[in-house]
Amino acid sequence: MVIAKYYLLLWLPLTGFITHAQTNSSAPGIEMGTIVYGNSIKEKDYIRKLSSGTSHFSGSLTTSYYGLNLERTFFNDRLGIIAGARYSNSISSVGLTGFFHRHFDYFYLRISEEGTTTTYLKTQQLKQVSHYLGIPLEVRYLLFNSRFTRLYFKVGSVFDFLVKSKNEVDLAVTTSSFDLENTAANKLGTPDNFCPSLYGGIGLRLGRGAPLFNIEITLPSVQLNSNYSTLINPHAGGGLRLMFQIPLKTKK
Amino acid sequence: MSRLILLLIVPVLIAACINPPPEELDRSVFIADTQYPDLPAYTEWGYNTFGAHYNEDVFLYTSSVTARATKDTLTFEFCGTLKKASPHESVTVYFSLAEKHPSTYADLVALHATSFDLTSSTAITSLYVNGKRKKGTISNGHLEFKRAQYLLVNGQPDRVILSGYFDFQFLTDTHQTITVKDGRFDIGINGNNFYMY
Repeated sequence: MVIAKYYLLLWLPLTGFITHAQTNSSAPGIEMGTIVYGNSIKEKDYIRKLSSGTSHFSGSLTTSYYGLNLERTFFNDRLGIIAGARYSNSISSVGLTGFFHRHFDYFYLRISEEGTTTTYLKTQQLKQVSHYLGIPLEVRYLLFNSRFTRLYFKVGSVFDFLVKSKNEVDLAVTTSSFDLENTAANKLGTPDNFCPSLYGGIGLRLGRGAPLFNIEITLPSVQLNSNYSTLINPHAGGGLRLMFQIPLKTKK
Repeated sequence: MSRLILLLIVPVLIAACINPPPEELDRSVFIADTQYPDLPAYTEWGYNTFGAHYNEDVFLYTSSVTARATKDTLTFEFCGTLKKASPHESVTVYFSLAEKHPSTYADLVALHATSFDLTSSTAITSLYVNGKRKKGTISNGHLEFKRAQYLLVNGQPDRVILSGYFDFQFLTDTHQTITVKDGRFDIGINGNNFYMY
């Protein structure tokens, strides 16, 4: 809730500006992009530590997104404010890497402790796939007004709500018991329902009139909720974004 | 030069392919204790470690603990070295428990939450330094199996994990006192290190 409060404080003045400032043009658009996050693996009390061999745990966290948006530009097409709706898909995983990877490609999960009986699962990889619906809100400043190619700088945030999350456990050896796999998958937990992020970017807008094509490097992108994944602590990330727009109207 | 490197690397790779390393559960995992970083932390994962303070030195595992059962005694062999001594001295401690006679390693789970007074006649401690038995008596001490777990891996029986503490004071015949304290162990016992006689 604290994150939500700060988020609203940040963006409420902006929404007021959108409704009152004189608009130069409006441009609906579609976007797609991907962000790869630097990360560290979360300490889990159900993962057995590795011996000092040649393998070690490694993690990854990648988000892909697709969205529809509307941009309004102001101040002679120099300032653009973009809002819309975005679907994003986040994949986090924990596995092993090492020189003799072939021999050390498993680790153990402790999935149950009942009385004096304990069950481990020989595992190769843990994976969490989460689906979000979000509201992106962005401000960009465009340079070189009269040119076909315009450089721009952007800051933005997206207000993501978790729709669905699924955990997968890749076993090192096949087992006939699906209960064991399900128990292990449930151990991984679920990400938080609300996961806002902040990001910056630099890009090029190509075109004059309609249509417009935007290619952008997103850097950095920071997840404000560390429980965006239950496996991975997200650090700053970076990525690529493409956006296609068709301007609708022009006021002078 | 590159041929020399190849000559060195190729045998290593071939050896790695022919002799796969032991199972991860058979290897030792040292997790340092926060209070005594020279000792392994007390754990219950079957990390195949033990350690204790041995007078001013540190007694640390060198190989996996073995369990030997006869019809009337169960003996655990803790084989290690004194870490600070130069050259390293090998130390082996045997804890022999009378009235415990498991027929398979799985029966060791009965040790769950049990404690033994090492001065009693039913729990005998023997101490070997550099292969020579120290003669003397235990003045006080205890061996505690805080937790015993029957471990299933992917639903199949694999081993018994024994975790606990030990300490004792040993008075040698030459009036030397050996104090072993802060001892802890976390060991896995299965068909590979359980022997029945």
